[in-house]
Amino acid sequence: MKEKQDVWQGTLSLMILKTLDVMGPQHGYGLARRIEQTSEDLLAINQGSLYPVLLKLEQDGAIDSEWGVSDNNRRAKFYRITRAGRKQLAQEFLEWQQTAGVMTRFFTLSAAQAPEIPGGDK
Amino acid sequence: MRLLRRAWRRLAGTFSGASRESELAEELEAHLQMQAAEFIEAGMTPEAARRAAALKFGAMEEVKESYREQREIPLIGTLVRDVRLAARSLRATPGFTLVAVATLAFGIGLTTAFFSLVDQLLLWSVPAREAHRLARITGGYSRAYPFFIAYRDLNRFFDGVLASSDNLGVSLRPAGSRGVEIGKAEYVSGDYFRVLGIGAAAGRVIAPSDDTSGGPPAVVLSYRYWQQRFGGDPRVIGQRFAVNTYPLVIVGVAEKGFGGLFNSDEPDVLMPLAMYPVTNPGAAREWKMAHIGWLTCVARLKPGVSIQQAQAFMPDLWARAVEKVNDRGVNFVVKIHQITKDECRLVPAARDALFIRNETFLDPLKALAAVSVLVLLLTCANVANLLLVRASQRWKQTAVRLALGATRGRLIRQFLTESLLLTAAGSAIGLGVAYAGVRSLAQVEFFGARFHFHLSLFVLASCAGITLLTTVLFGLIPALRATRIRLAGSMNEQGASNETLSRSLLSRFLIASQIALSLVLLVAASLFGRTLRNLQNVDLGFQRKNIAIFQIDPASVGYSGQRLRIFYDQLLDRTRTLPGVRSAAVAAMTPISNTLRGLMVTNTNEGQPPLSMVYNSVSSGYFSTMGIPLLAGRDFRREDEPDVTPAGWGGKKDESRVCIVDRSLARKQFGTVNVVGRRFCFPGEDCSAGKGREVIGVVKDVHHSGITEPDPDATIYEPSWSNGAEARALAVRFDGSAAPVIASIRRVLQEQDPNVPIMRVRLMEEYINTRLARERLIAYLASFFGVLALGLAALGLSGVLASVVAQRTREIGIRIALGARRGDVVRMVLRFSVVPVVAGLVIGVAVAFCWGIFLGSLFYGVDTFDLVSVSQSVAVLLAAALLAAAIPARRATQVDPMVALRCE
Repeated sequence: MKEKQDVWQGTLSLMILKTLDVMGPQHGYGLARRIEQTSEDLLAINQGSLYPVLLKLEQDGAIDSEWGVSDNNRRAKFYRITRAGRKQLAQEFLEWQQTAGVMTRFFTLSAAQAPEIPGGDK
Repeated sequence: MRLLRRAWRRLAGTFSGASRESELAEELEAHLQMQAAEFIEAGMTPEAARRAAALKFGAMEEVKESYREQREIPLIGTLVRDVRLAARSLRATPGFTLVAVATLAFGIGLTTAFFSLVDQLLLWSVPAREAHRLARITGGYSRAYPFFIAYRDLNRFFDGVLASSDNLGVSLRPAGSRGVEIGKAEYVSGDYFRVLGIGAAAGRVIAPSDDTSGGPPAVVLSYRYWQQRFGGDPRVIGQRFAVNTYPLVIVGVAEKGFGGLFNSDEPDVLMPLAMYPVTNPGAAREWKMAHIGWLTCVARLKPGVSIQQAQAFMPDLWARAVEKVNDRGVNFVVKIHQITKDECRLVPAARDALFIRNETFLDPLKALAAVSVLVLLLTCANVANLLLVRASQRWKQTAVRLALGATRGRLIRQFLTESLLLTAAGSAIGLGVAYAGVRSLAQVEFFGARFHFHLSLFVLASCAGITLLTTVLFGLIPALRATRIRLAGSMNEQGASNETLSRSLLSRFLIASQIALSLVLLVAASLFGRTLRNLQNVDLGFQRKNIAIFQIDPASVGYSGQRLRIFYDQLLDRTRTLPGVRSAAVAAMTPISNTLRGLMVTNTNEGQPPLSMVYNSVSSGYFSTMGIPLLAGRDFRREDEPDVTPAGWGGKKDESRVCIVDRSLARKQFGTVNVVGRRFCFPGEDCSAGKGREVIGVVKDVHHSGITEPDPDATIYEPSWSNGAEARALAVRFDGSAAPVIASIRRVLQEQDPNVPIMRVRLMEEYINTRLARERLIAYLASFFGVLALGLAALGLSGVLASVVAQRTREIGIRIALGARRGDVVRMVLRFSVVPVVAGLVIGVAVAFCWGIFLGSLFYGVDTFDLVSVSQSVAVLLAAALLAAAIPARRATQVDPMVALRCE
């Protein structure tokens, strides 16, 4: 459970940082909608799970937050990427590309030549 | 770096819960509203939009929880939340919390203050190296100078013998200062500092070479006086310093913390014995006399030698000392009476020196210690009971929590946190109480003791620890029990009945012990209170009201012979004419003054024990001024006084010498009271016909040193000037208020000679009251703790009964519904308290009895098991118990059967 969440948090934080980098300051709802749209609703996240990740990023200093007013005149908290956040984004993007590459190669390989596991009792 | 920042933010987040929490709620609410608004635009109804938005968001509480987890440091976060929860639950029951915290604070605080005092008093010892090797030599003659010299020179089994005077009032005049200051001096033998093993903080201490008749005029300052008077300036060494106008030189300062042999009374300066006659010319004749006991002799035992072993040599030492001193009077007494029993005995000096003048000092200390232990126990019992009551009231709450899935560990953690919080709050306030207590106790004049009390943190920690143990133990009982209860059963019913039973047994036991403890304290308070009252009303042999005593010492500024007599005569004449003065007299000493001049005298009937008697010389009018009744004969007249010539005392011929004796002396010497006309002789004097002193009057006995003297010393009075000049007391009986009379007498003295030091001015009644400081302290403390204990017990009883009523509301409701009358309900509630209260009273009476035996020596004029005190205390306790039971009993009668039945 915990490990799974860690992976999920990792990718989610990457998505948040990238979105903020491209779109500029956003409130939590805007971020959630944007991520849904980008993933073309393939990624059906619980919007709420965004908030603990936002907090962690803020604690790390990757993003800043500030109360402001939304387009339809609602008080909302806006998040903005910091310089440290951009650096982190670049770094993690690199790592993600490597991981994704490795995973892709791994799955292509294993589909063709899955090794036999002798005596594996179910 | 990033880790550090995160750690810091999380730490900050841990403690800023409330504001963060509302901010989070607002942010999430905004999110939901925006989502809902979008759905409404898409054509949904507001309700459906809201529902869909919530669905899309996911489980709100779960998000918040994981948000919080991210925000805080996990362990501390839980702890903080536990503490918050505990605080909230304590706030919900302010009555319980207030009483519990107050109980703990007072229990911990007062016990700590007390024990700090007792601890430091009991552990105090003579400020000396290896104090356990010091032994005081007791006796009457052993306090005289020639015997000290004999002991010092003749013994072969001590590592030195020292002698020191009591602290004597002197006038001090540092170089360059105008006017004299009044101070205290201890005269010490040459090897005093060597025997004690005390060094100098500056300069040097007194050496044997100082204590010789041609020795240097040396004075050593005490460290405290050096600091207070000279700010610790080292340049004072070598400066001139006059004591009683006699010029001396400061040679050094005694080491820090050393306050003389008598801690109760620190000297300002120490001087060699050889300086005594030159700084006290009035006593120059007597200080080396074998029958004038004014010193304390202390011997240092050789390493490895016990007091018992050394004691074996003492009779031999005494015999050789008598031989060496070779005094006519002493030889005469020794020849007839072989005084060795009380003379020349060794007692440990390490602790004893402090209590030299009052050896019963340790008993009240033990009593105080016992009282403080009792109070701490009472505190624990009460808090335990309060916690039990609280637990029984939370029975259902606990069951609900368990049903909702709280784990056993979680419950235990919460109850534990509550206990810790209670104790922490109690200890914190207790620290303040203890601090205030120590400060106010230190201000009570214990025999003029100037102890530097401080709060003992060890004692505080011990007291807090004991109460913590109690609160944790009794705080956990409900948690432990709760996890064993049958959930369904206790939510439906009033808890499993056997649980209730065993818990109420414990409560009853605690009530019984509280009643017992408070009874003991109340009895003690009553006994001490009556002791104090009795002591205040003891017949001291004179009228204590409206007497002022001026201690003056013109001899110290050079008055002697005829000049001295004229000074006193003028002073008396002028004082007697002052407005408000009814009569005035001078005397060598006044009653209850602690300046005894003992005289060993024997009656001439062989085989009878020697008579220790007090010698006093007084002017005419002394007995009427002091209010000492004349039983037979007449008072002194001016003509009775011997002539004083400029050359010295002329004395009087034996035939014309007169004396007044008190009733004790008359009885002991002559076997009857009316002895006017008989003749009295001191031992060794020629007592043939027409010699000695004619007894012209008999007066009532007075208490010379103590208020509780069982058998007042026999006293002989001679007219003024019969025995040379002495530091004198001017006694004045006045009318009206004291202040103007004292002021005008001061003015008279000032006019007559501004240089004559006024050692002290005392109002007799006030002084007697300060002498009762110990008794007053104990009586006040005992009544204070008695009332405190009574309050605690009543509170405990009331609380337990309240919980009984709460638990049985249903039963009471049914009974009332079935026709029970108010009286029946009240009886039912009271029945619960009868057994523990009666058991507590019985145990309390038994303990009070044993305690009375233990403390018997402290009581005066009351039996150790005084029926009046016991029955008074029992009555007070019963009344308090009834009152305590009345409130819950009343509540029980007001139970509305319908409400009681429906509330289930």
